Amino acid sequence: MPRKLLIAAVVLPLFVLGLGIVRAELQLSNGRRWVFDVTGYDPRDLLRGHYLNYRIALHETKPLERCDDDSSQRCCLCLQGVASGVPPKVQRASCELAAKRCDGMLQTRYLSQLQRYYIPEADANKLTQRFQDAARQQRTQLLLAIDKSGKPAVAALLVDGQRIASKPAAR
Amino acid sequence: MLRVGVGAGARLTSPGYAPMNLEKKLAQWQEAGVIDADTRARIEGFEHGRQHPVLLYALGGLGALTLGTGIVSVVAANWDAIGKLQKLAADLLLGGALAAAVYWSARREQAWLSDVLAAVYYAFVLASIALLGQVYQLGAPTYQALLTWSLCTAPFMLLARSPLVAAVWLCGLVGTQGVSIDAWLDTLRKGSGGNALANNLGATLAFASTLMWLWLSRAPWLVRERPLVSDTWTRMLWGAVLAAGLAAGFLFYEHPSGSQLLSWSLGACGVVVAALHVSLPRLYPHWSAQAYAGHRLLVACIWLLLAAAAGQSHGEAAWLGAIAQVVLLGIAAFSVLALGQLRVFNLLTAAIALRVLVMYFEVFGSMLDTGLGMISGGILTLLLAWLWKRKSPELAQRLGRMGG
Repeated sequence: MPRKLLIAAVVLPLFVLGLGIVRAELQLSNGRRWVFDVTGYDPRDLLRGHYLNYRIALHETKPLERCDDDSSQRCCLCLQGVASGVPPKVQRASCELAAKRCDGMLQTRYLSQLQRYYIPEADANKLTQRFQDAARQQRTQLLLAIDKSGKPAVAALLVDGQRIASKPAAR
Repeated sequence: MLRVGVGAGARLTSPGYAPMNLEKKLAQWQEAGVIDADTRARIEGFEHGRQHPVLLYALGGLGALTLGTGIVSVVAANWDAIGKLQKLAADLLLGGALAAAVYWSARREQAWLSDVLAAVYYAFVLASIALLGQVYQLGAPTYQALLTWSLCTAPFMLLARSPLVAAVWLCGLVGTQGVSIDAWLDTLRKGSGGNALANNLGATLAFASTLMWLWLSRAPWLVRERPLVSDTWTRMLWGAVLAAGLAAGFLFYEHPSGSQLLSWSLGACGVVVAALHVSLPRLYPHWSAQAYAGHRLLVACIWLLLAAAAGQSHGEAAWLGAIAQVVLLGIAAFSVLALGQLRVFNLLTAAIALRVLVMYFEVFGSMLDTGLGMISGGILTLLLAWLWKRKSPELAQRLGRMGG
């Protein structure tokens, strides 16, 4: 293999990984932060390790307009901020309408990708227990960074307003 | 007379077991006056120049894969002792060191070392993509991660030379393709096209991608520069063709109806089969006529089986599926025998015997029927074993002679 081609071949994976890191960092830093209530349980992924699986409790109110996820139209959740640390008011709408009328929006096609949170294997049992206890008492929340197009990135899983992996505050 | 082929039929040149057979044969030919001492020396020199340290490659590949799996496991353990950015920086540094090592070994043409390092780097990139997913809590579909992995590692994996690494690479590529197509078909199933479109597309893509991989495995560059990779892929892909045919036999165990039935895809698959028929001599120029006939018949029978089992609604017909599987195994056995691959022929003969025995359990119900079935099945198996022992070398020779 010629020298330049060989260099390109071995550097390409590193370039792709670097690009992935930059993209994820930009998504986290540029997106507006929103919190959502969650409920859940804990399986594990053979390749990626332990994770907590949960459902986002959206508490949707009456839709702004009818939008079908199976249709070609892009559906969004219109987010209207209520207060800091409080989940937003959520209404279903087309992304076009949500972009014009809402404080923020979340594309519904990404919802299925937001339902797992990876945790360190060493603390898996402890964190799982902590998550389950808190979820039963509705003290768990998901912090999302959502950009203007409605694409979300998971910023943190919160228990009592703190990241789940951090030490719990005295109650 | 001297049939020294390449590819799946290259018994004399296949690195795994060629040297002993070749030297023995050459001695016999010289003794019989078929070749002189000079010719023998030239052939030996040529073949020894093509030898590869198979054990060294196998151990290297195994070691590399173990190391790679270890890296994946460490990542899966989701070590949390250091911060996010430090973790990713350490990952990229290790990746950089591996990339430099692959470059260094490839530039110095240290084939074994670059093979091992490429395999480790291959696993490392997958582990790093998984790490990225962990660190940033990415919930993207699996096919996206696999596609990224396969596309960005393909250029340096072309450095691979050993059969084991080639096999793992092919599994990675085909696995990525399968998962991606499945995700796409899933989207189609949920959309307006529904099950019928997805099933037809799935069958067509399965046939078409088999042809594509068979073509790729015989690409001139691969055959010339990476003969072991080409040979390994060829064997694996024909094995996959047979496995797909056997799986199609199980369609007779189902009751397909409505949108499960295949329609236009049977025509499309027929075109793919015809294309494969036409291209066999180009792909494998050294095969005998019997080997072409066997492989063509195998592919045609798989298509017929698919058309019969999934082209129209029918009740459960397990016996038909079982017979079809035995027929396919028989054709495959004939094909490999025509290539002189006695070991594979023996394996397939054993598979036929086993399938016949299992068939008796499936088809018969009462104790008496099953007992009688097993007695006749046992006799048939013993007869098969006798035929295999007595006739297969002779048949292989005859087929070889007929192939010219």
